[in-house]
Amino acid sequence: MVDIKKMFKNGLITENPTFVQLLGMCPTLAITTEASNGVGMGVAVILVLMLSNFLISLMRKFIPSQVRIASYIVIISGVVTAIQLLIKAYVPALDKSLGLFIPLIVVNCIILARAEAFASKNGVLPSVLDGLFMGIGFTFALTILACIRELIGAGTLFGFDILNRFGYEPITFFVQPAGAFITLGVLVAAVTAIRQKAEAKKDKEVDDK
Amino acid sequence: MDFLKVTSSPHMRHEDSTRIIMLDVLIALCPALIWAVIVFGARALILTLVSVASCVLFEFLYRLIMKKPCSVGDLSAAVTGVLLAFCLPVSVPIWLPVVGSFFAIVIVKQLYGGIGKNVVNPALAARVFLFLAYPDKLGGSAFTIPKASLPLFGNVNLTPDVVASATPLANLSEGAAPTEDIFTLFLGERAGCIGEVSILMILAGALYLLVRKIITWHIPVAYIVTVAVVSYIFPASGMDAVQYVLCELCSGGLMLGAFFMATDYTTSPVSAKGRIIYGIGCGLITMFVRNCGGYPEGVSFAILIMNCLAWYIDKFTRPRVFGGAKKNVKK
Amino acid sequence: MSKNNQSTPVYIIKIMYPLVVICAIIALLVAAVNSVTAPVIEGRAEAERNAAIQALFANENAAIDGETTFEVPAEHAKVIDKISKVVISDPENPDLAPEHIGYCIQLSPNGFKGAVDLLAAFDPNGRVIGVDVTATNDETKGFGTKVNEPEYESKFVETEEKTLPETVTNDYIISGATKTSKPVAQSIMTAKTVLSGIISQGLVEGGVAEETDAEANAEADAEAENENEGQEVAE
Repeated sequence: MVDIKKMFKNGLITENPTFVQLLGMCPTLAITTEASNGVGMGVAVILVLMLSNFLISLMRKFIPSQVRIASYIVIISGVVTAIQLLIKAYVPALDKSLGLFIPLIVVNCIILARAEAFASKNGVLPSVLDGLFMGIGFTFALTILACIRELIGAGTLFGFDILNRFGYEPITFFVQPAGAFITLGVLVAAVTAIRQKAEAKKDKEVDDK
Repeated sequence: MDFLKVTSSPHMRHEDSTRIIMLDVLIALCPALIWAVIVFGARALILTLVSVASCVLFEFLYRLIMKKPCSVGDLSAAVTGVLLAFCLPVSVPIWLPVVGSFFAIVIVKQLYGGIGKNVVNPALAARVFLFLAYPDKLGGSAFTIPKASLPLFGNVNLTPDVVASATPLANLSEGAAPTEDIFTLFLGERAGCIGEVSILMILAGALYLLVRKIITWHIPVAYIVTVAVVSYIFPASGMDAVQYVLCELCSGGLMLGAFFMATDYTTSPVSAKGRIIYGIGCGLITMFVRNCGGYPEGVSFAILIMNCLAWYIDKFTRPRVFGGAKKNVKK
Repeated sequence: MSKNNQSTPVYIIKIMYPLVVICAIIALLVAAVNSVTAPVIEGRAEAERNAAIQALFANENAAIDGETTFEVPAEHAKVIDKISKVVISDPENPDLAPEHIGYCIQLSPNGFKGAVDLLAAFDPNGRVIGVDVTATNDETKGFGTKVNEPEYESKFVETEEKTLPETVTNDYIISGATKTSKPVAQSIMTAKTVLSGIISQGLVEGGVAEETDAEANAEADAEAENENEGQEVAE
């Protein structure tokens, strides 16, 4: 019924929201200046995805299709607001570093896309799992990007000095917006190249048979 | 389908012909290099050599790793190396041009497809990248006085007796006249980046390129005349207009940019009309940034912005197809 | 797509009521979360402010006197958030009237990227005794964030010899971070001017120290208008 392994691979690699679907680029570029930001945002998005997918899938037979987008937005913004209040109260450090981008999760395309493409058409448990795995894929992408940017741009990783002790002078360019674009571009190119090679290999195997 | 390509210049990409062109450019840059050694010491030469070596190395390695034919022989990487070094102050650490070379060759040039396919000028883009990455090393307080004695390989201690009080361009941006007189500015005994200080040497090299028909007069003349006209119309307060025009022309990287960077084949328009528009655009943006923007020098930003618009200018200045009606040109 | 029954009221209600129900459910959910978290958030913000004030006045019993508020002049309302009186209350004698030890002005000028929040502390005569720039702002790391550093904050402390000018001079501008440091410096100087205005108008209420203030300021006004207001010894 629910192929967990396949869903996990889907969210992490095959249909990774950031590197393959190219969704939610705005927060990806903006907050990945520190590795801890990447993880924090990723966890917030996982929670939002799971909760909103849960609610939407629960109500999918109740929502008429003419008002479905409006309903999804109401549900998603409610969930995001609740999570933002919880972060503000109990994890203020994350609130300070992510700032405006927590409420912006509402318009993160990933959430609406999964709601529309999956949660509105599938049962509750698969939807929640889809939310979880897509969120994990997003977190994974954010963390890699943030680690690279923080390492080159500040010499630290999760706040711990890694390179600076060797006299490395951080290239602050990479923690600025331009550096975000360049790093993300190179990462997407690398992932696409790997995928193309894997597909070519698969095609070749099919041909060989 | 390599024989059916419709691309912009350089079209004749056989290694030999590109090499001849690049060799001529290198020769044209020699007077400026010699002057740089006279004024800034042997460290200037060392920085240039490091820059050239790392550019060539990165291009060689990239082509090797990505399994593409080796293009180092066409000397374009070497030219990028020299131009990149010329845009830096002599006090930068020796490893800095290496970082810049990586950016210029791998990211700006090779990732877009190699020579002929880059959107912006690699040396200039790398210069801006380094300026954004290490603002204290390339900014106003990094320029040393001419003829200061600097260590050859080690890091330069930017003590007050070594640092220039202000470059001529910095003075102009504050509204004051430069401390040097016109002849000194023209000859080049002033603070500034390695290759940009001597107008005389740059013009000598440019003359060589014009004679050898490597570059045409359109872009540099349009660029420089625009800068002159704009600075004549809006002189800094308290300065005689003609003197101000000459100061603006001889300060900063204008001459180096106009003759050697803006004229790069790949990133500038093809037609004469297009080139003049491009030169005027460069001049306008340069003066705009110099007078109204936050940075004293506008040449690098101006050329990069016009690089991005070059394809658009080409589209509108396409020469009429022989025999075709005027209407058809729009397509 | 036939539009036969699509504009009848019944049809519209049929479409809309799920949306209304969902809105109601979500509203309840958010309200529930808010009731739990709001006190926590407010408590934390107040604790931070008090910690900053205690650090500025070097006294762990210092706090903002919530009962006195001063009106912020309209032209400075964008930069000055709140002007408050700071008092020390003795925890062992809660009945004793709190001692008025100065003023605290919350400022939020616009820096390079956004608002920079800071607290300026003044003694009862309107002399700057400390500045605390809240470290969580969006300014450029390494340049604009230099305003957070004690080295910069201490520039604004006034002494017998040194008083703040009314408009920003080059001493208060950090090179490479003009767009951040200039508004910050100007806001502190504006705050001082506004506070001096309030003090000289005798708007302070109650307590012993105020009489000395009013007297001292009357003398100062009599002497010269723009001269250094913090220099006369009031206590």
